[in-house]
Amino acid sequence: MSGQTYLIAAYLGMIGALALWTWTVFARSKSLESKIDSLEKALANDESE
Amino acid sequence: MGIIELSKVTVRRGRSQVLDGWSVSIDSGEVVCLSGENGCGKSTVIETAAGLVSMEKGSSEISGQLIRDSEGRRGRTKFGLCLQDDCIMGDELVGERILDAAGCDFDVSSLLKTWGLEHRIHDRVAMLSGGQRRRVAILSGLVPAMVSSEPVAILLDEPDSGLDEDSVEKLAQTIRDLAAGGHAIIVASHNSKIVESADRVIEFPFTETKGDPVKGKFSLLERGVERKANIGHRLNLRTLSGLANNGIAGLLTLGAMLAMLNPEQLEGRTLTAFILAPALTAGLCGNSIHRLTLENRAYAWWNTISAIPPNALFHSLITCGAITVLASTVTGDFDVKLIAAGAVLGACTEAIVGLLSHATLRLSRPNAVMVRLLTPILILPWALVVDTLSV
Amino acid sequence: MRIRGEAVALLGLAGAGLTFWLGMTWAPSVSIDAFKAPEAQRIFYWHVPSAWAAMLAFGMLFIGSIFWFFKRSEWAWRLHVASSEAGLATGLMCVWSGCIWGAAEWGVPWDWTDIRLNTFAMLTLLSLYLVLGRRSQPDGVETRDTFAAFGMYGFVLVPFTYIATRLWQIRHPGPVVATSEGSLNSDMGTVLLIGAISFTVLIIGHVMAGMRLTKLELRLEDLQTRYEEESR
Repeated sequence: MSGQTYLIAAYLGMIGALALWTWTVFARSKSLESKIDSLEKALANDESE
Repeated sequence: MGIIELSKVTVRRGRSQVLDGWSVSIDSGEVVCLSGENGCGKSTVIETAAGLVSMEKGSSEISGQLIRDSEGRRGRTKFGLCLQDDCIMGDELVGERILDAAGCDFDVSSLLKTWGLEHRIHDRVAMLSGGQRRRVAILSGLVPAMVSSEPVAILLDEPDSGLDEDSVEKLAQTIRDLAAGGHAIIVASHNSKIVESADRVIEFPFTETKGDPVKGKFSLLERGVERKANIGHRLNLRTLSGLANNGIAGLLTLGAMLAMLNPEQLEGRTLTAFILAPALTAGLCGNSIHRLTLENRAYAWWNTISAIPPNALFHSLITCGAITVLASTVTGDFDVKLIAAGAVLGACTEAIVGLLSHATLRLSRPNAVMVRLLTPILILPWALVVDTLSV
Repeated sequence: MRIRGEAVALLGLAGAGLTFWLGMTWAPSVSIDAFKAPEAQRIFYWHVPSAWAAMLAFGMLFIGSIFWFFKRSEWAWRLHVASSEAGLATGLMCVWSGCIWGAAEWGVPWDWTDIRLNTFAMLTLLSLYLVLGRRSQPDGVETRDTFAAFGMYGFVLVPFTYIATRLWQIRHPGPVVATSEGSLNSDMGTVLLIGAISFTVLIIGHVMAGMRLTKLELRLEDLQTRYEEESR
């Protein structure tokens, strides 16, 4: 394998790890915020009833 | 100062605060019963007194000895303990367990006869019915007081659960008899007979009422010689778990290497690695006794007896040494230094893996954590030993 | 104005991207006499910063673990959680790139006798253990104490990893930056510095975002408990 192949493999792996990690953070944040919003709305509706 | 002394303990379990600045003092000859609805904290009191639970504030003392405090300081002394879980490994023998709890030899068959268990004295606990096992667990908790003329603390958590009416009656009577001998007893229970045996009843957490129990009569069981537990080694010989768990792994490693490599063609570092690899694998399988102690939370009870978890490390030295001898034999390179290195390396690796597993016992699902993820670091010392011994 | 961790992390990512571009196009090549695989040497521009970022993460993990264990600080627990995830990601990046570079340069991806390699990998595995372990347990003081204890004890490996190549040069090369023996070209040093700063910003941003996520998770759990109680 040439030096360039090693270089590409190394950076692809690192970019993949960074991308996955960053995407996970954004996706979890979005999911949690929407769950919290719906629970808060449900609790507010219960209280107003 | 009482025999059992909990001072302003604050305990959190999970995400809730179970005890908040709670105190209790139990004097010699006194029986205190904790009653209250499920989940109110009675078991937490018993386990905190026994030093099994860490506390945010306060301290627990038994017979004047600090058992645990919020700073993390710990100590040990003789006391009796019976938790809601039986805390007995299935491969322990009935008579053996009672003797281990007493810490000395005595006429255990007579004691078992009064509890209807003398015919089971040599049987493994796993062979007993639920009620019989519960009786063994209760006796483990009571016997330290039965063999002692000095006041001893007894901690019992729902001892009546799983018992028939006659056994509950016998238990209540025994509690009164032990109190008459000057021993201090704290028991968590809803059962009316047990509640009636108490001098004080604490309706958890704060309401206290005085009881009017019948006075009992204490008769001391004669003590024999002191007894060392060594439960790990006894269990290992009985179950051969070390061989099944660790020895087989080492043998399989040797077998797999023999299938792939020709030992006659190995030399230097590779040869040394070949000889020492089975011992490393055997060690990486961890403490085989630890797995047994997970049964019925037996580790909790044994933790009050000794800071060192039950283990069979001496046997591991022999097993790993034997595997290394075998590996040396097939290669024709018989070196005492290598064999000693294999034995020590395997045993040390096993001890470290065992400690890592032991460190997760506070978790609610200790089997779900992948402690093995932390074991690759143990390859480093092994590789360094290989390097050193092949120079 | 509250700075969101995600924004800081994106800034760090931009810096990492710049480092990558500079490392591939601007940084000078190394000589064939000094390196067996001179093209693979450019892995250096992310490998070293990711190692640095991982060390920062392990340091934050230690601080979070200590302050949770002894002070019961909720903020510290969130730091423990976020930095264990950060340490895992950056540790894996460093180990991955290191193994590939090792295969290219040394002919072997790993050396079980090298202290630095093994202690660093151990720290990464510790992070993996903490991340996976936490997901398998309900949140509570027992879970937090257990994993905080692992986080504290694991930190013992950090100074070993740091000084390993100064004391024992087995496989991994010794320090080349800020030492009298170092021989790093100034342009390479510039790119490396940009990389180090970028990864520092990246890891800080990710840890901030991670801490916010843990706060949201705890808030969600509280709301769920409240909802269940009010539904009864």
